[in-house]
Amino acid sequence: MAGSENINHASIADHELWIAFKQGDTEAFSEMYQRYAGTLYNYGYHLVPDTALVQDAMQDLFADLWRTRHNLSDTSSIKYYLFRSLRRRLHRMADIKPVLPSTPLQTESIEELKIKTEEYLLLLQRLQQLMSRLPERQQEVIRLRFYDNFNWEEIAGILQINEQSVRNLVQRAIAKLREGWK
Amino acid sequence: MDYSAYDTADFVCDDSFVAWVKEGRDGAHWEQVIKQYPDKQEQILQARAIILAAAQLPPFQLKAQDQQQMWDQIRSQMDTTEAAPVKKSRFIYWYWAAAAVCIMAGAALWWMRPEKETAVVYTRLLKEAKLDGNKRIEEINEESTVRTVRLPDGSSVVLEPGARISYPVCATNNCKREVYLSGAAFFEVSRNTQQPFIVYANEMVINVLGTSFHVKAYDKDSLVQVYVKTGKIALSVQPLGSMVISNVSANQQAILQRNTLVVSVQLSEQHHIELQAPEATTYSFVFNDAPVDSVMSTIENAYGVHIAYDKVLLADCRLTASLTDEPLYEKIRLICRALEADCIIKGNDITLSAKGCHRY
Repeated sequence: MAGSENINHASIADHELWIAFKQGDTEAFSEMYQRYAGTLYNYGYHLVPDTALVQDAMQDLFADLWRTRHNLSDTSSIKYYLFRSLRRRLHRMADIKPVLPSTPLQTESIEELKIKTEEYLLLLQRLQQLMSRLPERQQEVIRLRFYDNFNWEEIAGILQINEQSVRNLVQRAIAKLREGWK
Repeated sequence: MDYSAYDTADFVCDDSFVAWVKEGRDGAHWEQVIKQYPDKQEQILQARAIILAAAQLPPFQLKAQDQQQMWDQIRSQMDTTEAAPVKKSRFIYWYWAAAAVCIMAGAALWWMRPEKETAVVYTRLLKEAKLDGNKRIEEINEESTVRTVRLPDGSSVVLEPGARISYPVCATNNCKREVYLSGAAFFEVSRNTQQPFIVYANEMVINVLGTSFHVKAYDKDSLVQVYVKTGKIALSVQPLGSMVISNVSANQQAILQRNTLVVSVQLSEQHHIELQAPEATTYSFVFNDAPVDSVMSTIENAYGVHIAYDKVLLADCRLTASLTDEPLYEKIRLICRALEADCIIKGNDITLSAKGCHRY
């Protein structure tokens, strides 16, 4: 009960924010940027492990948003809009090749690993390592669904494929994870 | 809804299942499913692990200074594209209005919260175990200081104010050693490898052979915490079945997130502050040529008991002993033996009659 109320509040705020921004409210635009810059950067860096490139793409994305704000349609999810735009932009800029980013997992310190001695946590870490070795698209779908909390329809929109293909990608990813389970 | 054909991937793709694992929503439904489909336990645990692993993937952080620099860049481009006057539209107004509504809703919820701290899960567990009033013994600490309870097997439990425990009535020698807890308590369990000792603390199930640990399991809290002082315990989480989720050793603490049922274990050097553990957890009970009255007052303070003895007669006596791993009553027995004294324990009153000690 409380949970669904919160979600409504958040989406109303998002909607209001978008309308205010379209009317030229700089405070709203700034709030939009602060709210999503971190998560957007994380997503972008997973796609193209190149800090400068991702930061450039984000700057251009926001600058263009401001310039073209009068022509933008309404959206109920700013995050969805931003993810989709950034992905397209990065594709254009980087001509994305399947480069495996070296995830922070491998740089985790020995001390941290020692503290997490417990089996269940070890299992989670093992799974995360397996995830980092999945084909790029499967990784992306898993992250969009479980890390960034997008629903199936939104993921299909971001990747420009249909919903069934999204589900198929997840099914294949899970089959691979289960192979590595033992 | 029929889940008999579900495999791991189906659970992972089920939106309601994901909402349960990540946010604790639909909990009653999924706990019911686990009970109803015992052969799906493995798939469900796998699906949970996959979702949690993905949800906790380490992010690439955007540095705060980079974020600011990028924003400055964007700002400068905005200024060049147009010099429009800044419209402080009604957005700000809406923002504050929304914030005010949130605060008022929060205040209303706070006022409407249940009157008194009840023990909902504790009561439910007792009911499920079919332990009615006459089949169990219940101890409640209604005082404002700690109170020590002795269990039939010789183990001791130091109850913090407001804590309550129940255990089955049993006439024979090899009874089940099971304790139901609501609130915070420190356990010192007497060793018996034949008969495990089990504590049910909200959703957490603690399995021990012989050890000491502190549990904090309030009905209203979102966490259940256990700190292991000596020995080792095995944890399981009741709604997920009997599989051992983790082993916790001395000086580690385990924290169970009650809405998502996630257990994390960490080394804990500063648990005393975090857990506000009772005295018995923090005292060391290692005595090195210590005067008897300091030993006695340590024990009195730690366990909230009264020890009556002849202070003048024992004024010159000194004790050397390491009593870290025994229940209270075992400690008393060992001290009495060292002092060649007779001890009588009645509830929280301990009477010690000694003949004095040999001076060398």
